[in-house]
Amino acid sequence: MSGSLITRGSSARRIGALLARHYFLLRKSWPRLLSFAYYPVMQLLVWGFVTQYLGPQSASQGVLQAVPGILLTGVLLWDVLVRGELGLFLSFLEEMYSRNLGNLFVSPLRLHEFVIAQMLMSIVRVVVGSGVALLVAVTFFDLKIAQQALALSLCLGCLLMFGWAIGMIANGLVLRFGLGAEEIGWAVVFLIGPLSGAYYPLSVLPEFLQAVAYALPTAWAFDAMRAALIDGQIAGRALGISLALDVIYLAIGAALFAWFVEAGRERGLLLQMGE
Amino acid sequence: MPSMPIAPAIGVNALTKSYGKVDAVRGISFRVEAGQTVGLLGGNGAGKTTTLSMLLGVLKPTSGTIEMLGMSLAKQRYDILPRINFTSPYVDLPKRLSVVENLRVFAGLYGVSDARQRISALLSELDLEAVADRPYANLSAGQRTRVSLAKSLLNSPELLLLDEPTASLDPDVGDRMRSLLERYRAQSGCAMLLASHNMAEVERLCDLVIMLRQGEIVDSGSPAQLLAKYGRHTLDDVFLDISRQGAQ
Repeated sequence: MSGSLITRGSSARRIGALLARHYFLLRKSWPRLLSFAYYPVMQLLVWGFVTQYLGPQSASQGVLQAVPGILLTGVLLWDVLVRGELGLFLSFLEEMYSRNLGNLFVSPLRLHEFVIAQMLMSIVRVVVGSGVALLVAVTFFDLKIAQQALALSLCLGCLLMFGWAIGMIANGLVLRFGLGAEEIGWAVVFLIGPLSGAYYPLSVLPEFLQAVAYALPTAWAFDAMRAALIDGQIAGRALGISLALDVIYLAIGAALFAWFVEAGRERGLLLQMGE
Repeated sequence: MPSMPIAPAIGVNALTKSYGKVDAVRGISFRVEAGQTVGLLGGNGAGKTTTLSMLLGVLKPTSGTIEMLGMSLAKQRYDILPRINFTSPYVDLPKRLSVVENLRVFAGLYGVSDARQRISALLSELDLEAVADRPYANLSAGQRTRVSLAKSLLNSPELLLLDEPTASLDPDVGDRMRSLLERYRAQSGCAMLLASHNMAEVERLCDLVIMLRQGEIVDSGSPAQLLAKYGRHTLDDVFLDISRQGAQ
């Protein structure tokens, strides 16, 4: 009987099933969909008005001419990092809240398929959230970045990947320590904010902090962003280092998440996770 | 010509789970033959859920081996999982998704071909058609249990692990669920391992009963054998005898 009804499910089908789960949820909850764009747009509006305030004062002062564009692009790219992390983290929390993790871990779904589905959901969050914010920036604050689109897209990719790495670590912590560790997941990405240089060059940081900052892919990605906006260049070295660091952090994030899952299996946490 | 021996649905050997110095399960061994329904009985903390969790692969044994459908769970977990399924009171389904949406997601995860037809048949069989488009959150406890059972039958499993499958159902619905499980077993030859406190259910469904106490198997046999051995009329009384022996 089973043979006639079962086909050995493909990896793509299992990932598709998890994406369908989120699609079903989103299509009946417009506030949830709206929340994808709400925070990025609000953030963008605040900074947009700041740039309008600063604009006239910096218009004739050399490199400062680029400040409004740098601030707005920094806001947009910083949001990509946050959406990247939250895309993984919130998808994971959804399963925790609904006590569905046990069902998933006992299904044929592999751990890497689970993570890939979360990454794809984070891309959806970025496209919707940051996409709307970009539209607002271009329409209302005269942001002109079309010529730097390639360089900025590469920065975006580097930031998104780092968001995934942080998201995997946050998910692992929640898995290990329960929903009591949820706050860590929300806060951890903001911990690296001051060190990332989204709105200022890292040269303004104390020297010892600069050393720490350059161990993060974000610092190099935002350096590359400024090079694109000020000099119109693709900063290959900075992007290369950012990508290399991303690979390292993704490997660490994946290893930690897998380790936390294994620890959960050791302690019997996987079937009993939930609110 | 000698026929090939059929692998047991479950073969557990010297299975142990310890949390520090506390042994939750102590070196138990048992088999569930293909097509057989085995009941795992014991009081709270006897090790039933711990054993089921290890069989599901979500809890790592401290020592011992588990074979399912002729394969090692430790080595071939992902070959085994598409062919088994489970229900447990410790898990739930996404509450904002409707019944059908939940079943479609799990049909995708289990690689069920012709998912629409399978879901439709299960909804009909479990009397869930009227609530098919209702969010899972809005269902009664009994309806949720039936949805969970529908999820567990989606992939037409060869082995079902059932932890208190009828715990929150009224007698009528509980009886219909037991009839469904009996029918499914008769049609498919599915083996079942059932952890339950409902002795009437165990007596009705199980070919073999394994009694657990403090992580150890203290007795086993068919319901009739156990009744005869303890000189009792109901498994409830047998259960009490065994539990209280341990307390003395």
